[in-house]
Amino acid sequence: MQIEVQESVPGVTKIVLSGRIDITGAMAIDGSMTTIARTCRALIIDLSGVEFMASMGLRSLVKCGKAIRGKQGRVVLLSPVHVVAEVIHASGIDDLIPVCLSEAAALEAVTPP
Amino acid sequence: MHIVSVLRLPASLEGLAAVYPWLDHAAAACVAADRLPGMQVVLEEAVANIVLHGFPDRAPGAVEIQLCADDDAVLLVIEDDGMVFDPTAAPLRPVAANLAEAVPGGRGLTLIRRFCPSVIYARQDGRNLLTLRFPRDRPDRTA
Repeated sequence: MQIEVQESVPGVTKIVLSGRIDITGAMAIDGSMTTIARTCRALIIDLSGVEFMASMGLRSLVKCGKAIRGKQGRVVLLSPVHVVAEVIHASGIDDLIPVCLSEAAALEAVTPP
Repeated sequence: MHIVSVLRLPASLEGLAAVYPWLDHAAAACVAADRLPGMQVVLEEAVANIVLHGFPDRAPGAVEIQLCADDDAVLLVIEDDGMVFDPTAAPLRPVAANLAEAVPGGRGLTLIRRFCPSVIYARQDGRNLLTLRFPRDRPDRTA
């Protein structure tokens, strides 16, 4: 499980996750995700490199999303692969955090009008 | 129905880590590639429940997982000696209206029921027995 943090454009943070977000994977990223959520208000979580996600991964995403929404920030999920998209949809997380299929759409979604 | 493979592991996070590679390997011969990810999610959630909640007041016991197959279905049968837990009777967490109201965790059972059409629980000889049945695609019968 790997986590990389980038500044997508000024003011917008991007977390690039890759690997498997099972329990162990979720434990590995949870602390960093919490720290990042505390320090930014516009966040793109790039899931394109995540090959598997279970409920503990969803927990990390929701926790992070809540922290950002709590300060009127914006967060989106970017380009999950098919099986991860199915898990996100089955659990209803896509009703809570928007899923974008391109970087341009993600940037637009996290940028205030 | 014949047994394809059996995995025995301790009910710990280290044990849980063995589940994904085992199923990946064991199911290769009997599960369609597009069905395997859903099975992986269901098995991960079911075993995670045992590991995280099955042994609150004593040392973790053991979990045994059987992969079985016949022409109609593939079965995962999970047996453990932890406390009584019937995932088919446990309530599902309601879907939150928005992020502010959402609770972070607790979506494992939702994923099990979404990805496995038949979940059967029994308590037998002091052990939990969970049978997860995945029907095979039979396009010849639906034509």
